[in-house]
Amino acid sequence: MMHGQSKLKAEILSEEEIKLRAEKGQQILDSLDYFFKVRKNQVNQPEDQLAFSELMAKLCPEIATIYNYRREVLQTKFDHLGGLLSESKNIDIYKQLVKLIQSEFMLITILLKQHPKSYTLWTHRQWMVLRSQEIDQLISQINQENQFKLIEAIKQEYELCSKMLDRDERNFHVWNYRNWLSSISAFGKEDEFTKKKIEQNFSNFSAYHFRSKYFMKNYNQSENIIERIKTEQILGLLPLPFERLKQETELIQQAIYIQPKEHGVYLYHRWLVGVVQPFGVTKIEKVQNNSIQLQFNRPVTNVENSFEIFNQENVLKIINIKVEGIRVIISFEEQQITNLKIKIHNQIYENQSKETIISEDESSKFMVPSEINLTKNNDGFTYTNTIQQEFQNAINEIHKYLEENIDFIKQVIEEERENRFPYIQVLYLLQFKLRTQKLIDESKTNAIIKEALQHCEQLKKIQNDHQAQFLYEFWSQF
Amino acid sequence: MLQQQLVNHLPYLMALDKSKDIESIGYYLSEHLKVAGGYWTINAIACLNKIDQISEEKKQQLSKWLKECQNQDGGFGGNTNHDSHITNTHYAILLSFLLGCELDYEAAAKYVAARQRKDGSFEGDQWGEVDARFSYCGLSSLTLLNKRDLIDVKKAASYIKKCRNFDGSFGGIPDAESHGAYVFCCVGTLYLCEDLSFNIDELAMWIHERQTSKGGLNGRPEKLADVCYSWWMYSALCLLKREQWINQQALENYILECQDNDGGIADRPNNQPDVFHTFFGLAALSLLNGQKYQLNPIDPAFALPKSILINIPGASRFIQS
Repeated sequence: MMHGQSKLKAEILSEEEIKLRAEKGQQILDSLDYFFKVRKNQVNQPEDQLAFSELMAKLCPEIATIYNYRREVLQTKFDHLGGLLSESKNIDIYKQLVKLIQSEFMLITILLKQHPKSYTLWTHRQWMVLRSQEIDQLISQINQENQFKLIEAIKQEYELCSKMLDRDERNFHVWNYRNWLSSISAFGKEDEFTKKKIEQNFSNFSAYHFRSKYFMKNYNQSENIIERIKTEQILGLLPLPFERLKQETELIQQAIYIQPKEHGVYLYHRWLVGVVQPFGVTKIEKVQNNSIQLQFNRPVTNVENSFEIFNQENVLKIINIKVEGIRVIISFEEQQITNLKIKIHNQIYENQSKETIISEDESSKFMVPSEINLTKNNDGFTYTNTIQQEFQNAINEIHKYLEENIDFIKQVIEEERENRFPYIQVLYLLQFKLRTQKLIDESKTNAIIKEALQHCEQLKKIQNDHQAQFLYEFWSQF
Repeated sequence: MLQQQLVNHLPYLMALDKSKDIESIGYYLSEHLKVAGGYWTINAIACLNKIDQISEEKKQQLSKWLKECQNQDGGFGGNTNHDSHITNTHYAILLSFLLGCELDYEAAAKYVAARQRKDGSFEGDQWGEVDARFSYCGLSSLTLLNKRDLIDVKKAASYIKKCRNFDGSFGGIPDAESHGAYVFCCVGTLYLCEDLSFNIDELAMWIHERQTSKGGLNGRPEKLADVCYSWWMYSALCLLKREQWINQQALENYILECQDNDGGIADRPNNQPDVFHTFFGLAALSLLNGQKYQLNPIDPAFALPKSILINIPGASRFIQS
């Protein structure tokens, strides 16, 4: 399949040209024919298998079978030379090995110049990095006198990625490859690199995307997360200190300011602001002798291990937990309820999770820890919900941060009256505000809803499409 | 006017098989894509409701050739003699249903199932490349062959969920940027795993934002529209029951604009057509407005005509009504 091929004007080829093309085509088919005979050992292997497969790769760079064959040949050579090197520690053998590896990387680089988006080539390169690492391990084992320099291919691979991203900053093969390199080594300075790409072009969505991944990856590096929550005010999915988060928000605000008509920048801004918004209990809706129904400020999932219930200080056995959007129904052994205590746990921080990445489904495990004390009486029940102090302060800070960002977007609306993006954005940010407000003071939510509906009306006037209708339906439900 | 152009696609498709297009080096260099090409061509012809135009003799010829593409390991290569790969195995299975021929499905199923890794992902072949495309090939192939029990379906779904990104959409591997073509692979896989428990509205919103001013869909922010995304993402919207989240009329018009006067559909207006874009353009049209264009609807999960799927027992519970 070919992308981006502009239609040639009726090409009138001379008979000579047609003949030449037919000959060239036939040559390719004949070469392939011979290659497959070699592959299946129907003819003798060529004397120089590497030279032969190199010719084939240059002739038909997209044919995966050619690289499969080449890898088999290379592996045999690596095994052979590796074995010899282990035994002899001979410098000439070492030089042969290094040359073999470097020339393979060079060949792939040449082919990548013509075919920068070839899955086949990137897979082959990845394979080569792994082989060169294995050989480095082998060299390390015999390197007591440090007579051999390690290959350390990964460093040069970052160079390649930089060069290729300079040529095409959105090539996802290169970004994925770079990301993979960072997963197996410590050299990638992802924070610096993605920031550099963003500063080169505020529209580089690939850079924002990888930045979001970079920020999400640091759980197992925090040794004392509870301390960090207190001192650095971390809450929610993003394990970044609050000050760092605010810096990052300024960067994306700048991008929105410069490129207000571009969709991607709003997505990243929305994610940054939204990702720290808390999950917490807002209400106890029902209490029975065998169950309790809780309401949360936003839909939750995967919260089955977030609860502990006590009746008169005795631990209750939880039979079932049913989650339905913002509601959770906890069933327990039937008994006379007088004083219930429900502890809401933050599964990630309390268990000092060893996870490096939390999937989006599990985000509500970042619950605001609180303790609910409930008393049943003749009229029904009364309760208090006490949020753990460190988190209480954090929620207030987050609420302030959210307000600042809503104000910022409103400024953009002022400048960009006919642009639907800031309107969509403010409607999402107001959703976050509504959820956080419910944790702080439920009574003030009406003002938020009223404001949102006004923005909905404005949005419908600009572009009344499905997105506008969807947002309007959300805000109309209250 | 544009509607009449649809008729031109049949001669374009029928001619693809004739003696080599000697004016194009591209033909020779796509020798490894013959199985895929066969699938796109025959499927496009089926979409035009003209599969009866292919002679029995031709079908036999193609069937014989297709069988020769199966290797000792049970998998299929892109052409005879090529090493096995899950994508070509999948294409071969699909093509066999279109041609009405039988392959060694038992061996093919074993090859596909062997590609699943412990984390639920699927590799393309023994060389280890992993990608959501291969997950989709795995689920689709084994569902069609009624061999889902050979793999861990739950794990397959959980791997795909790791491909979700902050923008609500899906990439090709965990950490990869969201991309329209991978939306098809991931949603298709999750649909076949019977596990669509992710935020569907967020994804639909992302897809909605892919529609450009000319009506076509692009694959990612700031990229150009391409007709193939009409299929990749509109089929996903159909599976998620969110078809109206894009401007369907505008998308339809865009696909029609991509038609070539001499037959075939290109990636964008005034470009060179090719069989790949011809198939995906027609397939998307069959979902958008099949009745109007008298197209045979192509199922959004399996990318095969529904008329063929109803005869495949493994597929029945997944066919969209």
